[in-house]
Amino acid sequence: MSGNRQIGEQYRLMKRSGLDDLIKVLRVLDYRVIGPTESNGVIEFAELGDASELPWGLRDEQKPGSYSVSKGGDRAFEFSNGPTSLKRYFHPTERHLWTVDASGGQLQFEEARVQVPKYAFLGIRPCDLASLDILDQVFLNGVETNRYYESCRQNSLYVAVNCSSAGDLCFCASMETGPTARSGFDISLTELRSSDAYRVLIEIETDRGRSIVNQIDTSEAHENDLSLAREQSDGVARSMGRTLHTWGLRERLQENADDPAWADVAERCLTCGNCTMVCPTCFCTTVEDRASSHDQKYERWNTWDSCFSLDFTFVSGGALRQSSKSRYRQWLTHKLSTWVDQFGVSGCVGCGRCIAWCPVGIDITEEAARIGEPQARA
Amino acid sequence: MKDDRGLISAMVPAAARVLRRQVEYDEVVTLEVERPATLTKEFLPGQFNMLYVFGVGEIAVSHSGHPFHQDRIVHTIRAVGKVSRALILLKPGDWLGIRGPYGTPWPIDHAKGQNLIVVAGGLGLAPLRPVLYEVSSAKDAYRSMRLIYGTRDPSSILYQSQFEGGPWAEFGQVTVDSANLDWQGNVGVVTDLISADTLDTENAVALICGPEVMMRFSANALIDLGMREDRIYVSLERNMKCAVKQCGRCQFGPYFVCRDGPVASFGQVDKLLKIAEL
Ligand SMILES: Cc1cc2nc3c(=O)[nH]c(=O)nc-3n(C[C@H](O)[C@H](O)[C@H](O)COP(=O)(O)OP(=O)(O)OC[C@H]3O[C@@H](n4cnc5c(N)ncnc54)[C@H](O)[C@@H]3O)c2cc1C
Ligand code: SF4
Ligand code: SF4
Repeated sequence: MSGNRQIGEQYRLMKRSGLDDLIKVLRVLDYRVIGPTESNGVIEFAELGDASELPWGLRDEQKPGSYSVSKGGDRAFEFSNGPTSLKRYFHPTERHLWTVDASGGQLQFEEARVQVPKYAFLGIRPCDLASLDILDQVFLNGVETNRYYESCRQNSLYVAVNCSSAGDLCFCASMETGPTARSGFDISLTELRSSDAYRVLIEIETDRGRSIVNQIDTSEAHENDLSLAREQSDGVARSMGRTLHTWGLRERLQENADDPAWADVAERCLTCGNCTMVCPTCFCTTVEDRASSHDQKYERWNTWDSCFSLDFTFVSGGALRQSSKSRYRQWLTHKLSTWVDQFGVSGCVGCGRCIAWCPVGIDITEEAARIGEPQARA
Repeated sequence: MKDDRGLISAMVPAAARVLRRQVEYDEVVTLEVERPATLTKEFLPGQFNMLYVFGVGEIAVSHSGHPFHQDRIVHTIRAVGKVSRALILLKPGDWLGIRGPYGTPWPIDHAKGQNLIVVAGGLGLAPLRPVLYEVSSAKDAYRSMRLIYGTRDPSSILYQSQFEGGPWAEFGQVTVDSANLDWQGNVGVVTDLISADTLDTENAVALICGPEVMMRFSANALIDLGMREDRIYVSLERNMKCAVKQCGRCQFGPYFVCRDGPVASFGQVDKLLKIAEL
């Protein structure tokens, strides 16, 4: 019975109650547990009190420009992803940088003292996990360490969940970020699809992860559990809703800045910036000076911005990127091309969020395929 | 909730006091500021600082001071908007915030032993002044030295005393876009002075700073005289908020102007400069 051989200590199995235990253990360890939950028809990351708040038996249906949640299945991680990624936890929508006080005649700058929460993320998709590696290169870039980001990254615990079905807009297989998490997590979970009762295969990656798993009720995993997980993963990779051909893409986008296809997409694009907000790797910001209640003090805040905003490239005399064409081109070219020059990897993990949440349903995979490929435009 | 130390360090300016204010011409002022002890890094010609005015905002401004006198920080600012206007109104004794230096320097070491050509347009002379200071005090290190400066009219010649009868007189040439009859000098654009008669472009390194079109025309004129584009350097300007490669705003194709620039070789950016609205 080789198929049923016991496998290494790295793997364990748990029942549905294991998820309850897991959240309890994490909370006892003082973690704020952040996981997916349904609210107002959307599955979003939020703080969880217990496992019943997970989106049990819910799936999402995503199409260009549309997203809906419906009943289906009996598992907790049947959906693909919602509009919020993990980005806002590490790179908050607004962050206080410093305060300046002019009351003593001279200026006194004081760095903001920010409490860094201790998060445990439960149910991180492999694509979202990969997005954190990408953000690491932005915020821990060797020029300046964003210390909020760094501390938050270090304080956090990562429980990944491997995908057991692919969404219509997913293309992580093209971007080589999923559907199975390979690194960057403490524990990963795979909900096994089988006729048996609900079972989750646990993979333990770190000592931290092990000590947590040791505190919950698990049983030995066997070789056939692992092969079932692998089969599922292969099946997901084969059934990706979207594909992005990345070969030569970096050069193709940079070398075709004048392609008429840019003007074509610009006619549809509203330059609303939704795509940049939902994207797990878009990181651009602006700063704001806010008068504090005390009139001799100002606070400087760092807030999310988007390359679609006209102000983004303002220099005396006006914005450098006036046309929507130039702004869409900047976004797409940065994501899929110049990001590679800057950070050695693509800025896209293939999560499909920008396609679902674009109000006019612009599909990044289709637009990228058109640039520099006249025959693709027929 | 373990970590409660200060978290953003280098984005926090140091408080600095204005020591001297010099009006250069209409709307253009040079400020000399006491260097705060916490700004430990010495600047190199071509680098810039982020200057903050209380309650108004923060902008990028190039160093325009003498690189051998690092106890003072010197900036030349033209009022074009909110923050720059507030800066030129600061008086000796007033305070501002400074962080830096940031960005790539002019490659002046690379030009040693060669013919150095400096081309400046308008306020573009300010980021080049540290180069001119340094080169004037070590002239023997270069085979030859030429400065071509173009500005609007005779009343807007920056650092005028350096030219007529000053230390730059022997290698500098000024041209203005327009002038009345009192003006004895050159009238026309800088590219008129980029000619084989006055410049030795063999074994030359050129540094150009000014409006983008002026830099492109000047670089192309030098290329027409036989210079290679990777021996020509320009200084770029883009909107920037962080100066540490994290706000994403100063992107110029694959480059971050705050980090890969502002100084870049023309060979690196020539193609990009031709793309409208990049
Ligand atoms: C590397 C670098 C070096 C510079 N060196 C000098 C110098 O030595 N002397 C000088 O007078 N000016 C210099 N500038 C330009 C200076 O930063 C702008 O004139 C200034 O930002 C205008 O801000 P404002 O608030 O006065 O104008 P507004 O028109 O009110 O601008 C609003 C905001 O837009 C942004 N912005 C506007 N114009 C520019 C611009 N040209 N570059 C970048 N951001 C801009 C700023 O964030 C500014 O606060 C430099 C710019 C850069 C990028
Ligand atoms: S560009 Fe679109 S598909 Fe790619 S990571 Fe961003 S939101 Fe996801
Ligand atoms: S691509 Fe879509 S989401 Fe992005 S700015 Fe244009 S309309 Fe908005």
